[in-house]
Amino acid sequence: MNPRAGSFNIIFSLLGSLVLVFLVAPVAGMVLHTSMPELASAFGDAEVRASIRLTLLASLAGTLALSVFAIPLAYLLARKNFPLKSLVIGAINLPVVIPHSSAGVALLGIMSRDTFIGRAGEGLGISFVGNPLAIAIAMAFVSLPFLVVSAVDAFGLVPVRLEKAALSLGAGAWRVFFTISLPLAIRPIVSGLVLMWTRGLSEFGAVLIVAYHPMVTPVLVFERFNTFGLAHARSVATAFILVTLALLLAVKLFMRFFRAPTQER
Amino acid sequence: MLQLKNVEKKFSSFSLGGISFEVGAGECLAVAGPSGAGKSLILEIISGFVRPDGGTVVVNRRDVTRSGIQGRGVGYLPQHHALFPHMSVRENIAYGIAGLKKEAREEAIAHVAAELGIEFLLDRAPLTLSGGEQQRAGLARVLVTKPAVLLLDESLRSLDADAADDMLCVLKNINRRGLAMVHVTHDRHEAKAIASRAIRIDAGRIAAEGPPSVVIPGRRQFIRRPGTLIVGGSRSDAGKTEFVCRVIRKFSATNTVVALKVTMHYEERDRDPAYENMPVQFSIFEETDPARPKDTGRMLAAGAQKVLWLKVKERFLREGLLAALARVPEEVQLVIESNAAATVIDPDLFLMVMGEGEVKPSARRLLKYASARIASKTADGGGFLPDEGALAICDRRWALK
Repeated sequence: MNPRAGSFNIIFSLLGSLVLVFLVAPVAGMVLHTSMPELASAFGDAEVRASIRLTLLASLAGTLALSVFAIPLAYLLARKNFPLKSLVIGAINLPVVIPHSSAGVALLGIMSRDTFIGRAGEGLGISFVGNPLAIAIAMAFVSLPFLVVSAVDAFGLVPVRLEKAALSLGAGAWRVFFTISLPLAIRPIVSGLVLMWTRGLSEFGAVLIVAYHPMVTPVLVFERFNTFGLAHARSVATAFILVTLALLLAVKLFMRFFRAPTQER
Repeated sequence: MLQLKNVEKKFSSFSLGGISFEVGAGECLAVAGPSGAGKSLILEIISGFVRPDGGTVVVNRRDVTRSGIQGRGVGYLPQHHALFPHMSVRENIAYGIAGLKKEAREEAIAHVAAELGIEFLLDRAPLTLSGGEQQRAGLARVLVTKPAVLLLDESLRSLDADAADDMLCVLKNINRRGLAMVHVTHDRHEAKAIASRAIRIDAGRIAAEGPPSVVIPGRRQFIRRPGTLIVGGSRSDAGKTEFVCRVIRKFSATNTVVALKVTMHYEERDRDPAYENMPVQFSIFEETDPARPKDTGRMLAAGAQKVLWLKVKERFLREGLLAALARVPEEVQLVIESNAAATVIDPDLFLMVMGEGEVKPSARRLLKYASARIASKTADGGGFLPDEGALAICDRRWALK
């Protein structure tokens, strides 16, 4: 091997390894510090189980509901040029750049009881504040860019000529979208959905503002830490991490069923 | 069957105008012309992807100018295979006849597959097929919808010689049975084999109409210059021409050599001020002063007896080259260096200057060299892509020897 390339590889591997240690060590340390009895007690705690269930479902609901709007938007962004397009792209990335507690304050501003939306919700018997619905909205708000960006890239990689071929064969725009564009882009879109869902799971700042109760797990970890100290918070956090890792593994296995988009670029 | 009347379409930098022609049942019209002349745009207007600003498109006596893409009775086969990669060949063919009942659909698929000899491919995935097989499957997918007009957009260009010949036979048979066809092609041989008439489009207008052998420039119309070599070169970001001096030195070892330096000025690509300032379409100078410009000296030192400098507007490259070639005796080895190598290596022009005679294997290597050099220029923002079609023809010619 070229000695220069050798030192290059060694130094880059070393730098890369340090980043990996930085990422993995705290989480691994926390998991390893949690004893089995502590973990069992966390899983046995009804409040912990309820919060994990709420977190998973609220993020999933937010992700699925918003995907109905986000995927068409992503398609338009990938395929069409329109006035102020760059402004729209900037707006989509807004949740990434603003502090999430600020996002929570902003959401509360439009969902609280004295606003039009809040009053409309009250009229329908829905109170946003302190409701799982508000939690799902907050989670979706902060994690939506992950889905939109993935989906824009995914649609961008579907060759336009395939859509044109389908149109010339007599298919309408809806059929072309559902039989050509979406199936060829589905894999990265599903990755985007998983990314949005998992990002939603970890949301704390925005959820804390819009709905402290019922408690999602990140809020519960915070609550346990404040009330009982590090050890109690750690066991809840570890239990949550194990559940999400198991789910992610399941999702990864499930995604193998999607045929890889093998078309040339 | 198909009738275009005064079709026009304007874009900010290009306009198509006065396009009128008719194609009857069982007739094939070849549409030729340089890249960017508007050939594919005409097909897009006929198929409904682009709505014209003026004029009418009539298919089967029905004015479809303002109709949608669907239901026009027009089939479209593009240059690049557009089979849906996530469906089998069978599913691809079934796509356009999804409205039929299952039995009718299966029968139609079986019929078209038998007609095109692709029964054994029906359950294969498109990406496992060869280029020729993919194009046949693509054709089957179009034909099964029973179009009145078939549009072929350089559909044979990406095929090897054998596959292209096979497809020509298939298309000819289909054409004979009454399907009207419009075939966009650069290849005179292809056009002659299948089309009874041709039009040549230049800068968005019909420049000529008549038999393919007259309308589409072929190599027999050009001066044959066996052994002539285009060594390429490319334009630097500053607009100066860089030449491949080592190549000249290598090639000029044995013969009397005249170097032809081509500087092409572009109308649109860079808003080249030299284009507007040039009072004529092209001009040819004989350069004798080795000191100015410096590449003349380098060419003379490399063994050229004479250096000709052709300055030409992009659209008149063909005429300029012909005039320059006429000034160099046939027995003299000519080496062309150009800032427009990608355009010079256009199939027609390439054959024109290469001639039909002996093409030395070294020329192929040098052409590759020039192309790679151009490609490397492209990677950092300047220069042009080599023309793969020219390389393919080059390959084919060597294969024949």
